Amino acid sequence: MNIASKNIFATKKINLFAIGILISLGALFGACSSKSESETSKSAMDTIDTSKTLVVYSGRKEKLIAPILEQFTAATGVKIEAKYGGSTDMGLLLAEEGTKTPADVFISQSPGPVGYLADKNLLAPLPESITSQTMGSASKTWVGISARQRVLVYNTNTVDPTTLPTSVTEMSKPEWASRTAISAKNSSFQDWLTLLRLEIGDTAAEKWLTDFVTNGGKWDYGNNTSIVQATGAGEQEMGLVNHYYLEKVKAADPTLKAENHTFADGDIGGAILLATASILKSSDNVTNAQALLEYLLANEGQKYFSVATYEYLLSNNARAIDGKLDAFLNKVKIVNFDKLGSELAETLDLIKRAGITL
Amino acid sequence: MIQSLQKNISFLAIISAGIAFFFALPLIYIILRLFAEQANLINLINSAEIFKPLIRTVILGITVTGFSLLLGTSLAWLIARTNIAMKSILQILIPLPLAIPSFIIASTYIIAFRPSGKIYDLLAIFKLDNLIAFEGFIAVCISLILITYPYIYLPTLARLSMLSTNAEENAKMLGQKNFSIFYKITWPQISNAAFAGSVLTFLYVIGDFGVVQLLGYPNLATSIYANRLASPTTSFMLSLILAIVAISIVLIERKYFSKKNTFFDAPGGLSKIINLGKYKYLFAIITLIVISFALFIPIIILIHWVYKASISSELGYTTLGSFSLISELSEQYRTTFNTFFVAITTALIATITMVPIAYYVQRNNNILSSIINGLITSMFAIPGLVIVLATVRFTLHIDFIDFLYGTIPILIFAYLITFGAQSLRSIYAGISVLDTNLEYLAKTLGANTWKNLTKIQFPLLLNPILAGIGLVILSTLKELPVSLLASPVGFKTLATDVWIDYDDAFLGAAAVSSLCLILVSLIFNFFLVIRTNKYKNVTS
Repeated sequence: MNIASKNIFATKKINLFAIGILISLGALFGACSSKSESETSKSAMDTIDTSKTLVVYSGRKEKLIAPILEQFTAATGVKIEAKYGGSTDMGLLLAEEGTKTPADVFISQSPGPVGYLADKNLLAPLPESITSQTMGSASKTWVGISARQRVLVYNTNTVDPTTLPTSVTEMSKPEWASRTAISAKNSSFQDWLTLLRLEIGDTAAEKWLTDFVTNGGKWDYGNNTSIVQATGAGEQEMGLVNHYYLEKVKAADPTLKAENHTFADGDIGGAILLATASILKSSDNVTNAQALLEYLLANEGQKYFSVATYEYLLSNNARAIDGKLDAFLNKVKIVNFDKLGSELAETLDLIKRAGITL
Repeated sequence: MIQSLQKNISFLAIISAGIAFFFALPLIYIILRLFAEQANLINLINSAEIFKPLIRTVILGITVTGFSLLLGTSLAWLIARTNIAMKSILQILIPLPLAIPSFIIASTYIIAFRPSGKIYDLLAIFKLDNLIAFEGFIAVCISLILITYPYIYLPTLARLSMLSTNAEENAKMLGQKNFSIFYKITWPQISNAAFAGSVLTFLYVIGDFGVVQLLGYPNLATSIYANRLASPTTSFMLSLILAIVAISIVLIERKYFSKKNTFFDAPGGLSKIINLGKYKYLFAIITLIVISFALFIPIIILIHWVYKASISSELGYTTLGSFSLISELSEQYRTTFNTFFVAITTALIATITMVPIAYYVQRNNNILSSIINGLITSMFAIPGLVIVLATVRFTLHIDFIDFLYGTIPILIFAYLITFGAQSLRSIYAGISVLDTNLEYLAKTLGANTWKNLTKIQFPLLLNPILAGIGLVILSTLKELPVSLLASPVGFKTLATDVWIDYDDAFLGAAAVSSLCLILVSLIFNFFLVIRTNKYKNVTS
């Protein structure tokens, strides 16, 4: 188990982790700012047009993104108008609006909806100055702005963490499945199941889910939040969720008895999923849009995500400064995120074949 | 005179058909999308994936509607016709569950009835804790009954308050018991108002997504949702099936349940209050128990969320997403105004557009009126996402009106498509009480059409119209998918606030918005009830 992932499930340590990044990022930002002018001369930041308002459609919720958008406005003078909703619904809305959309930038919680728009040729290719900063689509139509990790949340009263399996593939066995919950309706779980299919093959993935269901795994939770709440309250022993729900639910109720367990390095059970940013092809405000993406990937933006959303940073900036983060990102499973959109239909079929009704 | 009347009717037909055309847009949109994918359709049609969710949807619709009918009618009768204790308080509280978004009801019930919670401890004493796991069909039914009974309560109450009780008095003097009087005399007079509300209930249930998703009852709505990105064609196919079910139920109601009213007396006469004696407290307590499940349990859980978020914020548990009750409340000010503004505007426009349609549909039983009625009413069950995508297609992609896209009028238009049914049903139920003879009589006595409408018909229609306005406002306040997607950029309502915060597990903030939503509805209801009481012709 690497150092970074230990930090992740130790609640108090994550704050130190974030503060550490904050301080080191701050130091670097200060050190860089004088010499950065020549480097960033090609940056969209230099050619922004403050007379044009930037329209952002965001599948990432207001509380988690509005503050950084406001910081961007304060730093650049570019006004932003934002519309918030579920990432998938936003993706479908953008697809229907097509080239007449008022939106310039689309921020999605997962690669699925952006992949859908990329397939419809509605996204603009991003410049090297943005794509080289972080991981993202091979088509260069979207980039990851932050990451969340898949973990096993467990109840600290009833589960001894030292006995927990090192691979998620074990979780379909009776002794684990019967005590574990998933949310088959949740898009993060569905994205992760696509990753599992690509990792171990369709047949093995189908067997995994079918075994999980027949061995008594509970699959009909409505969302991640209710799994974490139920685990913290002791109704559920374990659940497969994204790492940051623990922090959020604990922020709302610190008495909950739950912690996160991370599977072994490189195990698909601990894969990361990306939140993404993209620019609409029809945008007539490309420079400002690119400036926003650069800002989200630069120090200020990355700093914000680590603290506000308890997420992992992705940009080279952040990785270069923080050795632990770099080690973490090198050890987790990095996959081909482009497949998440096009493979979703097949994943839903697999879920149904495993005996789950959506 | 007959000739001028006929001219009026055909004029009415044209107006009604014109308005109804807009309500057909979502259906046209679904069909256009399906046509674009016709190659794949064959694969989808044979699938058992359609049949099973369809059956589950219909079973849920029938069950919930049956129980809601019982509950809604009983409550309306108790309020309108008896001296039940604490009447004015009950009257304000009874319709309120309508204002709570379904996903909030469901998620607070999950907490309230959780196995590790207080209520289960209580049930364990009676060894009932293994009996009731609050999930699946039963849980979904209970939640939906408690959300939907106001759809039946409101129009039935409006009808009861229009009727005199002379026939009931006579029956009583002839020695009939209360229940038999209700069954033989009151019910035939209110049945079509109650059935009008039942149609709304059925449509709400088959279209609802929040409760079935969170409490685990897979059906058409969850299937539409699950497939919407991976296979939009499947979703549109299932939406079309949902629309067909909705239209069928509206047609069935019209043919078999919306019988010609039996009235034993002219509307507007005096009605007498039944003295329940010592039972007036018992019935008040039973009513309060229903309200406490529908309203107080969610409110207590919401207050608990606010409390916990405040406590943990003080402990320094959150970092940037920290919770402050004061700043949450101050943010609500503008949002509350937005919400109220769109809700009231929608309700008024719905009333204006639905009065002519209600007249036309009620007074003409032909194919055109059935189509108009079916189209407008069934839209209540269509997923909000489909309605929004249809408004995108038919505004943004049509030259000359594309400038309307992303404006408040388009948001209100989308609300109108969704909730026009509520206004139509209420006014329709009111008009069916008006005796056509009354119109002829007024005309023979020299009243012109305007005088006829304002002096005779409108006063009698006031309660049903207000009931319709109440329904539309309460529904718009909590509406979600349309509010999120069709709003102008940057425009928020209380319901979107609730959902956005809830979805990202900011339970404290979500609870503040939810409580504001309930409070706004409470204040609004208070005025509506006072106004209705003033006009009610009740003696005791």
